[in-house]
Amino acid sequence: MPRNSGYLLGLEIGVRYLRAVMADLDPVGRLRVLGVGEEDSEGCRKGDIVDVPKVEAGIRKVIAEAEQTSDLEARRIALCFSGDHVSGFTHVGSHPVLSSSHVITSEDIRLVTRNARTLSLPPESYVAHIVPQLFCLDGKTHVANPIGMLAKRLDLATLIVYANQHRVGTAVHLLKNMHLDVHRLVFKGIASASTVVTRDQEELGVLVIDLGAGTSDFSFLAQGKVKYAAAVGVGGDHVTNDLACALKVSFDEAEKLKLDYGRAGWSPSETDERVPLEAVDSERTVSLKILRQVMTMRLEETFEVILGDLQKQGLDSLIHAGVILCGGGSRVPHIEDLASRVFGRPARVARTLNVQGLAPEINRPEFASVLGAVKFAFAHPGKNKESFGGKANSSFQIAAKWAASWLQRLKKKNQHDSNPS
Amino acid sequence: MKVIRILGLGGAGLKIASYLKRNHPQDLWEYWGADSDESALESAQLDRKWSIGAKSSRGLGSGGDPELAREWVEELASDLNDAFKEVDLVFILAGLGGGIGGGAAARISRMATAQGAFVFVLCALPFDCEGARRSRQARDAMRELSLAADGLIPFQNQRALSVLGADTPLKDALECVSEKFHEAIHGLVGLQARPAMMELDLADIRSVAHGSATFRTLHCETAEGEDRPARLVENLKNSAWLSSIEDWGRIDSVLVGIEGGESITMREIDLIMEGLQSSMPKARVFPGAHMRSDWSEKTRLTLLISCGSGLAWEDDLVSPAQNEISHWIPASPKKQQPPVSEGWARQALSGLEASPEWRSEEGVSTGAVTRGSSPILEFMTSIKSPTKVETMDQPLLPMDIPSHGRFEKSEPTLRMGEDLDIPTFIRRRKLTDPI
Repeated sequence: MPRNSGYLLGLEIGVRYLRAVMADLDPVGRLRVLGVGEEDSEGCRKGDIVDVPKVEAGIRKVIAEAEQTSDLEARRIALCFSGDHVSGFTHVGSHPVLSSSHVITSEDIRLVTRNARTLSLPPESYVAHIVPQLFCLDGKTHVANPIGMLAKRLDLATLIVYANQHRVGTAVHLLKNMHLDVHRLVFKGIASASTVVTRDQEELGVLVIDLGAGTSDFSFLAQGKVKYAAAVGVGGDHVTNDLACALKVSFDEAEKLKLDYGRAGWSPSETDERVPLEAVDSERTVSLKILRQVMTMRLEETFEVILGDLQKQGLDSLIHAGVILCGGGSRVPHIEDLASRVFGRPARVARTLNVQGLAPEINRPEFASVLGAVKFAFAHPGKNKESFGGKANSSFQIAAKWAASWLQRLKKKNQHDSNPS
Repeated sequence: MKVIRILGLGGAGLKIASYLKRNHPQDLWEYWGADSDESALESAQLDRKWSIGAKSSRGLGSGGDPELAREWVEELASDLNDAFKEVDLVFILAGLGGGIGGGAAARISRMATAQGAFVFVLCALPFDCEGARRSRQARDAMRELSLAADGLIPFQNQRALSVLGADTPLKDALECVSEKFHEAIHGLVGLQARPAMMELDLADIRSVAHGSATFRTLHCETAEGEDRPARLVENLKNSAWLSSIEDWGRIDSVLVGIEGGESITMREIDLIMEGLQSSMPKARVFPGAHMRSDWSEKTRLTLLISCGSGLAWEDDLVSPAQNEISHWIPASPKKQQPPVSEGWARQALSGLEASPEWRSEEGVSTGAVTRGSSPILEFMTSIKSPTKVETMDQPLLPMDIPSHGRFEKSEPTLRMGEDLDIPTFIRRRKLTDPI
């Protein structure tokens, strides 16, 4: 395998598992996985690091595994992050077209972008993603490139995905201390989407939900772009905790019961089955009916919270291509039926990922996020120049940089178009 | 003498307020109305009316959009603030699920409380046939409202149908709900009226009626004749309106108002309170009593029941053994009663006249109320302190020890005022079998 310098390590610091993937792009530009690491995680709750030494030990182990299997040294990292504090926010900038003939020029683009980036987020917000939506002319027509078109008013909507600077910063700081460079930070909801949706789904309108142990992250894509993304701080751990409470067992026993007997769905008429506990010294049995009820209630509620969030954005009726579930939680039997019921749309588990040439041991829904992070990082080159603990208004810098690069790309494209060669 | 106003919000609220003004002319409080629908506002016969969103809506309704309603209400802020200045007690009547009722009510409640008024919201929840989305909107509105107002009592339109029978004309069912509203208003005004033998004040009412609960209702029962205490408690238990309470043991606070003639005996009160406390062992009891000079062999019992404060609203307070996971528990067929004839409303709620005490503007009681030491007063004072029975009751886990267990070290996940770290099955209290 040719050694190249353009490889990245995708890393996910999960609540249940730490995953690392060493990957680069093959000559054709497709993602190629070179090495994998997967370890149990300790010291994380709901997407946040709560025990730094434990997490650090885990990260060392998993990166070492990825390095060993790929025979490469990890240098640049695409970090996949989440947490209840991550939310999306659509900001619209408006601008009256300058020229009297109403022809839109690049100056108008620059000004509307400036307006779109003038937003006020809570203090200590870290802007992870800025996804420009379409330009809107006179509140009616939506286009990708309006230069040369006529309109009285130009609007630009952008989706801003932001998180709490300190909570994300803990991981970045930890990695910096290990002399690892965090090249890109990718929100888990958006990362997973990039490995499970197809072009068609992206156009029609698809909701991707990554059910992790600590959080449930989701993103809604339509017209080829991310329209909304956010996270809910409820995950598989909550299901296990609920079961531990309801069945009066320890957390670990509850986790085992969940994995062995859990199901997202139950009916009042089914006859009850009782199963014995694993512990040797215990003669207790627990009711599977209760187990399934408690589990279903929690999963149903989690979906309902996501639905509520989408309803607030007015997006719940646009999920034409259905719902895709990934992450460890998507392995729960009958979860597709539960999701279909809550969202009123067909739901499917992404049993395999939309990445070519994956070895079977990583071609599963749990790897959607970490592979997605690395895929996203390759697709969007350019480092996150984010200094944690620095100025609070760095969102302006990011937006300005994006606008400048967009204009540059547009200029290059115009030059190319006018010089067919 | 308290200044009382009845404010009907939105289409349903206006209709109910107009109905009450028309059918109960003896009540001497002012009726107000506010809505965005001009034609509805015009046809409503009320003392004062406000048009919400007059500039923005062209006189049409809000189209079931609570966000729009909220914006429009801001336009009326100064007018409403002036109106609420001198008011002591406001009853807001609203139908939830739509635009004005759901959206504007919370904002208007806050305006009223800011002016020093005590705000009580009586709200009607949509029929099941109005659809899940409307019901969901109604629930959200109710959660918000219950925090904005000092007290909130929900009424289910669907319950009227199940009590009266599905073949009841719609007009009668809606009138029935209006009468229940009237009963509630009278009950609440009466509970804290002065002078009284055992006083209840607005703070007591607030502590039972404020905020979200699993279940809350207000109910009046009257009985005359010889063995009225026993019959009162008996009627309560068998009342079709309270049939949704199958597990009285879960009630955790109740306001009891007893009204009787001058000859009311200790034995009578004893029997009533004993009957109540044995069926609601875990409830905190707030007792109140009035004497009516014009009643001799008659006693009226008003109960304001609340259960499960701070939790999500449920339709019915059933015991876990009979519960289903679905929120929308249909009325069980065996509880339906044969359709009642027209004019039932007045028959069924006979005895609900305005008390002379709160009719008089001067605030002077026309009845001779004896104060000072008497066996009755001593007895009543002895039961004044709220009783709280603490028993660990399986299968419910006690809410006052919320264990975050696994999530001790992290920030709680809060959504819509609920802490999602607390297990879902505890917050919703619905399991079919005991664990």
